[in-house]
This record gives sequence, structure tokens and C-alpha cells, in this order.
Amino acid sequence: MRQLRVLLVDDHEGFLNAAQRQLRNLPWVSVVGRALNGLEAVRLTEQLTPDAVLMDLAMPEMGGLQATRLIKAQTKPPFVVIASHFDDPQHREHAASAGADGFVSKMFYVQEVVPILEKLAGDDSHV
Amino acid sequence: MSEARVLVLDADPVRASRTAELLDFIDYVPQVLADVGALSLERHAPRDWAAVVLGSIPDPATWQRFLDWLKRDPLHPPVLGMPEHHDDGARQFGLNSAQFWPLDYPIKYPLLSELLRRASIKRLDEEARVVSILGGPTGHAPGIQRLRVLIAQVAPFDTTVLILGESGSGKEVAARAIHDASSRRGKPFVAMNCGAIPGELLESELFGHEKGAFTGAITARKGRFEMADGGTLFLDEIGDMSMPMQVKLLRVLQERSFERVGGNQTIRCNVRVIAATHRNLEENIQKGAFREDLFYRLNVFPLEMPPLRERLADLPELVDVLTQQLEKNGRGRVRLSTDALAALSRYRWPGNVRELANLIERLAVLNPSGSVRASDLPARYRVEDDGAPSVAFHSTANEAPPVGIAQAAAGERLDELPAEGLDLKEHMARIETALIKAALERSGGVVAHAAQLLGLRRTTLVEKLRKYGLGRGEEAGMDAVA
Repeated sequence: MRQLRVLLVDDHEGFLNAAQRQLRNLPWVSVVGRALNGLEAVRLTEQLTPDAVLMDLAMPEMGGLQATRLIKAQTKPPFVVIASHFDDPQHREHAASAGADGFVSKMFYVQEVVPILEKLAGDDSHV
Repeated sequence: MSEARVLVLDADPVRASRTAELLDFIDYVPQVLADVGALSLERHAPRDWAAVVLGSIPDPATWQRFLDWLKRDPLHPPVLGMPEHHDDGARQFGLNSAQFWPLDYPIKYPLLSELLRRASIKRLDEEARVVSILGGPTGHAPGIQRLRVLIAQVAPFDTTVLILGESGSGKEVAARAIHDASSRRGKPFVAMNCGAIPGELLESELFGHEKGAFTGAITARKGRFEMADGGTLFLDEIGDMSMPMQVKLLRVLQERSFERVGGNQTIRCNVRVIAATHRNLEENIQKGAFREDLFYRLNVFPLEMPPLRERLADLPELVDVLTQQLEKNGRGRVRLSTDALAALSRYRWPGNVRELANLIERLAVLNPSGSVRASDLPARYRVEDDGAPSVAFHSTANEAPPVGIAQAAAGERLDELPAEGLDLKEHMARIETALIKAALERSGGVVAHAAQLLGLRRTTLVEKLRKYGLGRGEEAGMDAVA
């Protein structure tokens, strides 16, 4: 399993802290950066070239889906997982059409995000 | 784990704090104000909130000012009106039923949660509309012209259509064009991405469910077949559908009827089905992953979407359409220089038009200056000229054809080697002078602006003008005009 470099994106500092605390339990994950909005996420993704971006869906200014579209147009785009308050077919379809590679419910964030990251870390074929 | 903000405007303090508690409970951040006059509008945008809850209004003047400000954003969040506004709120505030939703009091939290879910979907739908191509497939390349003819042929009949093509090649755009050219155009066009929805939810999403059909089915709900009644149902990524679901879909296509999950009443439906996939269904049939009988049901009229790399001549027109759309929606102004367009025409576009749309949106957001040169492109799009002949661009729809090019081309394709061969140096010079003339024409003769259009330094262009005998005198005269 390779080391996975992850960028966390959420407009709530408290959520970022909680997520980071949880991910600290996984020795093969390193959180390389945190962004508080979509635009910052785009900038940091280019700068830090993480393997994966865990992206909040609803943020003021630039939301998670627009940020995902912009990130997917950069050189060697990372794997993007959308974290949404609502988990229903419509929200999942919008995430997919923005080019997101994964979708998790914020209610079950850690339970759902860890298997996705595990799979990604074990799969060297992804850029 | 809070998600989004909700603005609560209510001069009734007890009701306001109840509402706030409830929002807090369902993980929203309430911002409560008795009088909206206390809010400094310069420091906010209407879309800072997922919704606005409206209760008792203490000062009609400040509310009206807020309302006017809100309505300036066509994609503003919905206003959830407390009971005193139910009868007349929408009319009184000049909001339509998509913008003004009644909220009962006392508030029941599953209903409030459902309203906020719908508000979120509404916003995503509207945002998606801003970045999706409207008005059918764009371009004039042979593959697209053929596609348009086929769409016009099949649209008037209720034939099932199967759209094939790579990811991002615009299958939904084609499906919408079929719907818009059919007699069903006044009725709903409902799209569904079968690949994005977990298998266990797909059935209830397609056919709906009755109350109590499964855990979480607190109310009965229509499926997409019912929502599309009288219109068109577009099933994208049909190749990702599980075998058991394929059986159920086949039955609907054959019998034109279905039952909701947990229901036993048979529902008749009048829906035209258009399916699409980027997968090779024949291969999937061989592998046992797709039903042959369903394939023949769907494959009545197959349509093939050409990949972008096979129609690069349409690139300038696509860029034009995409930039205009972003500009119209206030998403930034962006102009691509000729060298940027040339670099993009050498790229392979594995993600097709969607990838191009993402790139243009990125450039519009990240280049506030508005002008993009090849060197401003992300590295993977900066494809160097390897000496291969470049593409002859079609003139774009909203501009007069560049005069110089049209003359130089005179019916011939600039990227084709004639049977008798050609003098490459002379040929390139002809293209170059034509483009320079076109740039000068568009810039009203201002050399500095023409140079910008061509991605050249002014001095380089002056040198070229001299080399091609377009003359200093001419240039001086032209500059004087400006």
C-alpha cells in the first residue's frame, strides 16, 4: 500500500479538525493541506499535487462541484471525493457529472471515506 | 458537522429561536435577525445561504430593500414563508412558486429537512445549467453535421434511440436536441445517470416507491418514469445497469407499464426512452454483463457521437459558445489567443467536450485579466507544434468568417496535402499572411491589438508585416487611425 497524500476541503474549521483527527489513525494517509473554500482548493491542489481531495459539496463563493470541474482541468488531476450533507440519487448524479470520482455522506464520513482511500492506496494504476 | 447557512428573518423572538434550534439540530447554521436592516448587504451574496426563512416583518422598507437585492441574483435561494405569508406571499413579493415555498408552523423537522434538500438540488440544477451546452450539438465538422441530420430524422418518431460515444462527448446534449425537436418538447425531459446511483436505489428511483416500501420511505414518491410522463426519459450509462434491473427495464419497454416499489397498482406510462453509454455493449453481451434482448430493444436507432479529437476544426466555435455562456452568466470573461487555440488543437482531448468546458471554466475563473495565451494553459494542454499540419478551423457561428482565411482557402482545406503536392514554405506563408490580415481587420488596424490576437509581440508582428510587404507605411497609417 502506498502513502496517500490528501487535501481536506470544508468551509467549517471544526469539520476539518475532526476529519484530520480521524485520518491521523491511518498511518498510510498524510493530510498535506486544508482549504476553506473551493477557490483555495483549486489553488492548493495545483501547488501540492495531492493524490486525493476530500471536498465539501456546499461552500460559499465557489462550491465543491465547480472546484471539482476546475481541478479536473489541471495537469495530472487528483482523485476527488465529494462529501455531501444529503446523500440521494440527485446529489450523487451532480457529483458524477462534475467529474468527481467518489461520493460520501457527511453523516457517515469516516466509515465511507476510509474504504475509498484504502482502495485508492492499494491501486497504483491511478495517476 | 454543519453544512450550510440558513437566514432566519423573524420579529417573533420565540418562533425565531425555535426555528434556529431546529436548524441547528439538522446540522445547519442559522443566522437569526429580527430586522433584515441589520444585515450589511455589501458583505454578503444571496447565495451565502441555502434558504431564507421569512416570518414576521418589522419594517417593510428594509425587507423590500433586501428582497430587491436578493432578486438581483437569478439563482437566489428560495424564501420559505411562515404561515402568515402562505396566502399572498408569492404574489406580494413578486416570487414564483420555484422561489417561494410555504413552511408550516410549528415546523416538523422531516419536512424542513426535505425543503432544504430540495433547495440544495435546485441550486445544483441551476448551476449545472450554467455550464452545460444548450441548443444542440455545436460545430460544423462532418461528424457533427451527420449527427444533426440523424437527430432531425429520428426526432419526430417515438423511436427508442441509443447514443454511443466516449465520456464527455455530449450524449446528453444530443438527447436533449432529439427531445426539443420532437412533438414531446413541451413535456418533461428527465435525465438519469444509471452509473452514479447505487444499485439498491436504482429501482425506486426509476419506478418510484410507496410509503413504507423500505426503511426511509417516509412518503410515497414518483420515479423518473412517472416524472417523464408524456416526455422523454434519458438513461445515461445504461451499460452500468445491473442484470436484474435490465430485466425490469426491458419489461417496461415492452409493456409500457410498471409498478412502484412496494406497490401493486400497475401504472401506464407514455415515455420515449433514449439510452446512452460509453461502453461497448456488444462486448458486454459477450461477457454476459448485458442482456442481448434489451440491447435489441434499445438499439433501434443508434447514434454515434464523434470524439472531439476527430472534429478539432470545431474547437474555436465550441470555445466561443462556452465563453459566451460563462460570460452571460457572470462567470468571467475569457478570450483565447491564437497560439492558445493552436496548442489546444494539438491536444488529444480524452475527456472530449466536457474536458474542454472544464478547461474554459477554469481559465475564466483563474484569469481575471481575460486574455489567455498558450503559456497560461495548464501544462498538459501546452502541446508543442511538432511540425504536423495544423487544423483548418471552421469560421465560428457568431462572427463573420475571417476574410483573409476564406480567400486563402478558397474552397480547399488548408490541412490537406493536394495530390500534386505543394510548396510548404509558400503555403505556410499564405496562411500566415491571411491570419495577420484577419487579425488586423478585427483589431481595426491597430497593430498592438492584432499582435495580441495572434499571441505575438508587437515588434514581431511589425517585422512580419515588413517581411510580407504589408508595409510600414500601411502600418503607420493604420495605427494613426486608432
